Amino acid sequence: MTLPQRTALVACLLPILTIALSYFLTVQGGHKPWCIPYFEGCTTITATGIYYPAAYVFRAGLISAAVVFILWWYCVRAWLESVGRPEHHPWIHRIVTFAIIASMLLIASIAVLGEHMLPPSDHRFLWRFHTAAAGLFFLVTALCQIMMTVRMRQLQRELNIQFSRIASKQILAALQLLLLVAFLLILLLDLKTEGVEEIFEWWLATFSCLYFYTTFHDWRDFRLTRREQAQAQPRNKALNEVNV
Amino acid sequence: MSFGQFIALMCALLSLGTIAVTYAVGVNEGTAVACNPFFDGCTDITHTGMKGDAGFIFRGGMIAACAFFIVWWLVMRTWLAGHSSRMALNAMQFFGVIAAVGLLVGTAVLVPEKDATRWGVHVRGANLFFQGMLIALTINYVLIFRARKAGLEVPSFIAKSGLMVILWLMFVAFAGVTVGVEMSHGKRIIEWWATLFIGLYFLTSYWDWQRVRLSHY
Repeated sequence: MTLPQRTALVACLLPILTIALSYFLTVQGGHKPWCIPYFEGCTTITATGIYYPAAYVFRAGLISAAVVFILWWYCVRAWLESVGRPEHHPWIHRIVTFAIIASMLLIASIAVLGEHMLPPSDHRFLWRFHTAAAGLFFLVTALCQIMMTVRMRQLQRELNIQFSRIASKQILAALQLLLLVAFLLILLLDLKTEGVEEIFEWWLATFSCLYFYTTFHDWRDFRLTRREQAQAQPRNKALNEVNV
Repeated sequence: MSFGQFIALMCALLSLGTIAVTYAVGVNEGTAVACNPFFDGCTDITHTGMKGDAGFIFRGGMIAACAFFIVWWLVMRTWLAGHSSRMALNAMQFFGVIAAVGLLVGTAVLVPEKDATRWGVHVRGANLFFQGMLIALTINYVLIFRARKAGLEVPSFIAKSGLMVILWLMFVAFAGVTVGVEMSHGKRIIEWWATLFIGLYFLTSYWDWQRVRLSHY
């Protein structure tokens, strides 16, 4: 498995497992009810990372996951640049820059979480900061993934690569777009009911995570290489190029 | 900048930068004592990053830095592969990753209230970091020394050698860089210097990893 493939796998699994474990610990501690938040919207993702010891797991797992997201976007940029002509595609840099900033916002939003935020009425600034930073992370990451899919589809021939999982990217991007539009409409038409926001949050987070995995198969031949003295000793190429 | 250089830079900037910013914010907010901790040993690193905004910065920055440390060891393995045995690389990576995970867990359990902090986990995690990192860096240095003899280009070799000598001198002189809840002045000073030198060791790879990049192969 190449390093970019590992990045794609960890970017998908680490946040999902972290949130699942945090939720389990929070329920075990009696702080939140046991339910299926994807359908019942009984709790937010944030609420699974407030109470100790779940907050430790949440903090460690999601901040590490944010670093993996940054590495994933770095891989996306290097991958798309390596298969096309980067000077013709400044959009790659823009998308990746926005997405990396979004991941940094996730780190900031998670770092402030903990029992010290209770009761919420006494720590309104921290809650606002967390909500704004986490909200921006979800929004910008989803938009960047949607944009990436749209541009990859447009430039599929020009980039001269077989995107083996373009279909899965399109489905996940469409689902994310659908969720964002539906949520916007609910807000605009004032149709918001209890739990709706939570349901959207859980689904959007899951789709984003699954999207990270879609590059796993694309990156089979895309790896970290050490090109040591490749020009000076072309005959020793096999020895000198060690790949992960 | 290659992928390898990016990782080396992020490891050093995030770890050292986070501690510097945390300390500055802590002093500004009155949650940390103002002094030159490298010489005065007035505070340990942990206590600068517990309360207030400094705590948030410390937890966010150090956990992120630890995640980058893990990737640094993966990149180091790739760079040394072909010049070192699989077993030696496994040992190096094992201790390096264990050390990074130790610090990650030790940082994640920090909370603003001193009494509510799980000190047992934090102290074990921080000690695992310093001791594990020393073992991993020593294996790493020996492997680089051998690889260099075999023809591997190591522009930072002199810097790495200097840092390794200093780290071992500190270790021998003070019977290990051990962390506790309440530390002596000497141990605090050692903790600050050891952290700085470990961060700089990570940074030295910036000059070695110019060609360590992501590509189709």
